[in-house]
Amino acid sequence: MITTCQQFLISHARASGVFALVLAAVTVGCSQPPGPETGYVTGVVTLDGKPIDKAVVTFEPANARPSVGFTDANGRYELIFTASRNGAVLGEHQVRITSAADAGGGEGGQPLVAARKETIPTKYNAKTELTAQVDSGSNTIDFDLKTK
Amino acid sequence: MSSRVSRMARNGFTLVELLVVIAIIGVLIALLLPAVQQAREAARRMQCSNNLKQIGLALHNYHDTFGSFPSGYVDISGRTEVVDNKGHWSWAALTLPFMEMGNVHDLLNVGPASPSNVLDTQQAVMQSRYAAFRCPSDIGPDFSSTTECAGCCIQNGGSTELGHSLSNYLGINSSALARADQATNFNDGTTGATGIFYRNSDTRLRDITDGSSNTVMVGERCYRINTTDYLAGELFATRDYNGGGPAHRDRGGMADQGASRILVTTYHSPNKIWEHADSYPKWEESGLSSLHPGGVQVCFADGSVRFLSETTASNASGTTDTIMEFLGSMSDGNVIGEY
Repeated sequence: MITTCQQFLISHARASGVFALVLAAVTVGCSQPPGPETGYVTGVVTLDGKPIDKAVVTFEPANARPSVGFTDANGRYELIFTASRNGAVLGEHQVRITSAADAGGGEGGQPLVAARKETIPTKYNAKTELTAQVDSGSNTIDFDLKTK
Repeated sequence: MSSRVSRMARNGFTLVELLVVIAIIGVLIALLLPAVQQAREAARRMQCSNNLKQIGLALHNYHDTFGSFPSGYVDISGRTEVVDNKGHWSWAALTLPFMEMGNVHDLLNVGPASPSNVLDTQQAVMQSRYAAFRCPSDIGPDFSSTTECAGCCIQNGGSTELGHSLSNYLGINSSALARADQATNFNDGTTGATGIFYRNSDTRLRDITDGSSNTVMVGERCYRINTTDYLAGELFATRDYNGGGPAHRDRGGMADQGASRILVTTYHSPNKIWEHADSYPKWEESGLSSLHPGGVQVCFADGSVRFLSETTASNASGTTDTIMEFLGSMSDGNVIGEY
């Protein structure tokens, strides 16, 4: 038995199809995040073979916002682009990896957070020679740093 | 069949037609709803840009009256009553009469008195909320909390630690981390402050050789985004560090107090992210930030207010070689390009 609704859909099959296509296009178009295209980046940072904990990894592209990552006890980092997006913009990046941190607190009732010294050679941070290429999709970029 | 059609035409809509109409209306509302939600934020952003514009005009009026922009902060550590943990007046305190806040300026006796002694007698005035210095999108409290950071409070004439009024609008100090003395090389932010405001500064418009429309003068910093603390800044005064003036990069490197609490730098791209756990660097000198989606608003030295996207390039090289650094440095001589 054919209901009225089915009759309508059959007789207006083309119109319904176009309507569904427009709806799909609008939905897909709205789900695209704003800003430049990014690739997901993760990896492991080691110094002389040992993973580095609490290091800050910064990917600096030539002409866009840098991405940062923070290593865990296993040396693993995951790049963050903005507060709402992961990854890094596509292309060539200059990479800085630092373990230094500023002091803070110690006054006005705040506990002192002591400064942390740099344990990574300057050729990996202040005068970095590290570069990395970020491609569309998922990237795994490991860094094996050497003190010598 | 023909009789059925004519009956339908007489009786009005079929169920199917009604359903299609409802579906179309539903889709239209779904499209419109995010726009309605955005309208409130758009209104707040407009109000915020008006605040920045007023501050820009006030600074120009100050310049017309006194021949230079106000000092980033007035270091009064030579005075006997100013010792460790006491306050130093900020550029915003000096600008108050030009913001139609002359009453506040008079009550605080900015200049002759020291902020810490004024905090004894005018605590309510120094802890009020001043809408002209607050971004409507910001979620921070009226005045800074002594439990948030060391630089969030100063001692009063006694030795009580007290928070004081917050401001979301901070003068631009440098294209690198905050420093007290002017740079010797404007293409290298590690040699000093490359921006308009620093310790006892008296920058004139003619000193801004990059052009006033190419140099950022005032920018905004919000209190918090998700779990990242930026803690805005203080309106009237900043804290002394060990009796030698407010802390800055070349002196102690305490990131959570001193110059960076009343001034801001263009070292980071807007809305810089850091891990806010105790195991990571808890205090990092915060740059420009706001709760406006996608970036921050800044006032240029010519008084124009523009939106700066958070995707604007920056790096940690120290030399002035990215758009953020070109904007912060007032005479680096570089062509900025598109941003």
